[in-house]
Amino acid sequence: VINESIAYLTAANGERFQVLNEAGDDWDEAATRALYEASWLALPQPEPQE
Amino acid sequence: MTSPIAIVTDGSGAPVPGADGHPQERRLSVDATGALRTSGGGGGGGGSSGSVTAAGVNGTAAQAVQGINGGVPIEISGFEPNGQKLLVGTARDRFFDNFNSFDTTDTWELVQTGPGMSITGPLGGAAPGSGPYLNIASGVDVGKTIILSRSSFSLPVELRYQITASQRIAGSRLLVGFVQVDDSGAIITDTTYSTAPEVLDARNAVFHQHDGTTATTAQLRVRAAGGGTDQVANAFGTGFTTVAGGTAPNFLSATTYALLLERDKINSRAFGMNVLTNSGGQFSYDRLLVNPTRRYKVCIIIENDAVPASSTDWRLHLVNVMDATRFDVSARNAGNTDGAKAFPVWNVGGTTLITTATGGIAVTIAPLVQAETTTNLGANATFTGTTRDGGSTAVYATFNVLGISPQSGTVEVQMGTATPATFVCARQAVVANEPFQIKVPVTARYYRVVFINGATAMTGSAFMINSAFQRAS
Repeated sequence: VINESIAYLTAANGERFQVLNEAGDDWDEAATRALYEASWLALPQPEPQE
Repeated sequence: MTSPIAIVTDGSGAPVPGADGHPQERRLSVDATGALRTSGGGGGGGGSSGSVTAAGVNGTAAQAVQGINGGVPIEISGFEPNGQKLLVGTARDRFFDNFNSFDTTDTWELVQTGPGMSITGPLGGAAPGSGPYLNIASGVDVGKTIILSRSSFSLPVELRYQITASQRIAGSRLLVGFVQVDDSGAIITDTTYSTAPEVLDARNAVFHQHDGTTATTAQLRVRAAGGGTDQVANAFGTGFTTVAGGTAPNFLSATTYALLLERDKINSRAFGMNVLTNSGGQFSYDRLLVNPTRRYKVCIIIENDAVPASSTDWRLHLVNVMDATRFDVSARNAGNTDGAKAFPVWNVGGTTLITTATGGIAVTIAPLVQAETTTNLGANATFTGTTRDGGSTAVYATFNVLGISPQSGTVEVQMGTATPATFVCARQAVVANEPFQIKVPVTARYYRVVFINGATAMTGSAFMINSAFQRAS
């Protein structure tokens, strides 16, 4: 469940990523990044545009 | 320091011009005998205690005050006859004694020593953390020892002190507080309406009285206008004690007591020292108020009001008197909680005011500048920032977003009257590796930034977005 008031990332396929800090009042950006990168890097990436 | 200046006048109060036709000025000072002297005019001479001596207008011998003011006494604002000094704030002097010595010449007046009582020391101070203290043994005879400060004070003033006792026993007590004094420094007594020997019959007096057999009890005693003494027993709360730490003779005080006399209330406090949590308690009192326009001295009374079973060592570790003018802003109302005496804080701009469960007040101020993100986005991925709260009161003028991206994309600012903010109020295209910024006028409480990456995934460490509310200039 995403807390929409706190920062999150949305992958191109619409999947959203958010890891909150221990207090639950802000995002844990590093943990969110790790989760996101582990997920979107595994996805097929579009070809770079010229 | 520049001395005060007086203008020479005739009997009617009109300025007397000098040879140059301008009003004559005299600088005023007080000599060692307490006599007020003038200088700066012609002549001048020796002053005499209790009179004002002026420089002679004829430039010869000293003349009495009639020569410059027609016999009318000169009143100097802030002049304290008791001690012959000019006042600064509400305290004539800084008064602080941590008992490196027991100075009965300049600091204290030993008014009387009770029968069977003895004052020794300073003692202690040899062990780490232990300062010296003055030891007053109560003995077992009925009577009292009275110690007065040499300095006097006017309200608002705060007394902080540290004491310990070898025991708490019925019949023996220690009082620390203030008594009203006259210009000579003597206690003004009044028995017109009642007697109050426990506070020396002082017309106005405020004391903490440490008595009884329990180390964690004390009471506030107040006498105003010579009326009956009032008392509030043991309302400090918990966590304070007169039990000493350390090992004899290097005793340590565990508690700081505070007695704050304001114009509209008296605040009593006791709190533990060197503890992470501010143990102890406080309360405010305003049923009787001592006259705030009068002068007071610190008074310490060690009394056996009845024959105690054994002698008690009352130890004075610290007496610290502070001009409390800065506190005299009448925070809120009297009460026995921190909140009741707290200074009001206007909650704006994301400031959160929290009364904690332990009674303290924590203020958390949200930073104005927010580091939104540096996380690289994949192709066509989106960063949605945390919704930022600009507060319910309009103190900010703009919400600003600045950043840079290694890939092209789109940046948006979204606003809302509730969180999350979802209404797009600004949008612009972002060029790769070109700094971007958006500034929007604040017209709602909540804002956030959104960045939609282009078709190329970010790499490296060039992506960064910050945001900030900006106050109106």
